[in-house]
Amino acid sequence: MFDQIFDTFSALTLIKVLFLVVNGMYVAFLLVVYKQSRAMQAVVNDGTSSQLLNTIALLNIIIGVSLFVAALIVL
Amino acid sequence: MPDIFVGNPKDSNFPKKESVSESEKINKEQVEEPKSIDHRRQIVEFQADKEHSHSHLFSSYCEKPSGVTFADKLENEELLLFLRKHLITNVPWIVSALALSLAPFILIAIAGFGALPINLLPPVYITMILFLYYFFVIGFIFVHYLTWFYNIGLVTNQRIIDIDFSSLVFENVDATKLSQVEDVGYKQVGIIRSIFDYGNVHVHTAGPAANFEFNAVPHPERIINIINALIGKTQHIHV
Repeated sequence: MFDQIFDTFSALTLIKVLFLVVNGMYVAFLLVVYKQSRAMQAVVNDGTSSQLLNTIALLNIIIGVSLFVAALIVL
Repeated sequence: MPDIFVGNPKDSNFPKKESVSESEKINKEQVEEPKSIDHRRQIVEFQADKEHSHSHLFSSYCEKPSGVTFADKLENEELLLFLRKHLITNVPWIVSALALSLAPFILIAIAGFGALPINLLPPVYITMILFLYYFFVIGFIFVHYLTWFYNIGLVTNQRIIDIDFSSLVFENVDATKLSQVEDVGYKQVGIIRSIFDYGNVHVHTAGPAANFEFNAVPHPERIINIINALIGKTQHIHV
């Protein structure tokens, strides 16, 4: 019985670690997206549309970090 | 009247009204009539299309857009055409995004029949994984949209600029002066392209300068008309 509980616990821990790694990598990718979005805005600025895209890119990073923290606490 | 087609009155080469007599005026009009009529036609056509003058999040064709700026803008350079791929070219990735959005529901439905052991995980894990999954889908949509949004072709009164942006890490900006442009043409092949009026515009340049290609841009015929008018040609060229 203890073995079964231990197995379940370690499987869930593995899922948590995997979740955090994938989420962390994705946040790093989103940082690249944000950087590129800003770089392209410097090349062509389509007024409010470019600013809106930058804001969405930044919002994505914030959501990604929030999800990472939430996973760290909840899982 | 757009100042791109009209000489600047402040320019020393521009004829002053006071200095030209009536007889001289008549003679000049008679001599230059064919060219000026052509030019007037181009100007009228160019001015007539007011519906494409506003740039927004989904615009793929704009004439003289307001609020658009670009790097390395030259002195007295005015943006005449702002081009992206036609909106319809986004359909494949939109369909993929929809399929990806529906995939978890399909999986849950399959799990309902007992085909998938989804109940092995606690609900909080399933919820978090679903959050991450949909976050990926949003990222997928955003990156594709961004790629479409920043693949831009610009035609100004002095240059043609091609901005390529793909796979997030590749950006390439090419520009050529209008005086370097030798030929311009377009290719519109297929039913979808004919229905939605979009195609590839080719700009052939002289010398070692790279040729330009604006892929899947709306109203290709109108684009080459405008470029031809800018480079001093009036005939249509079909490739």
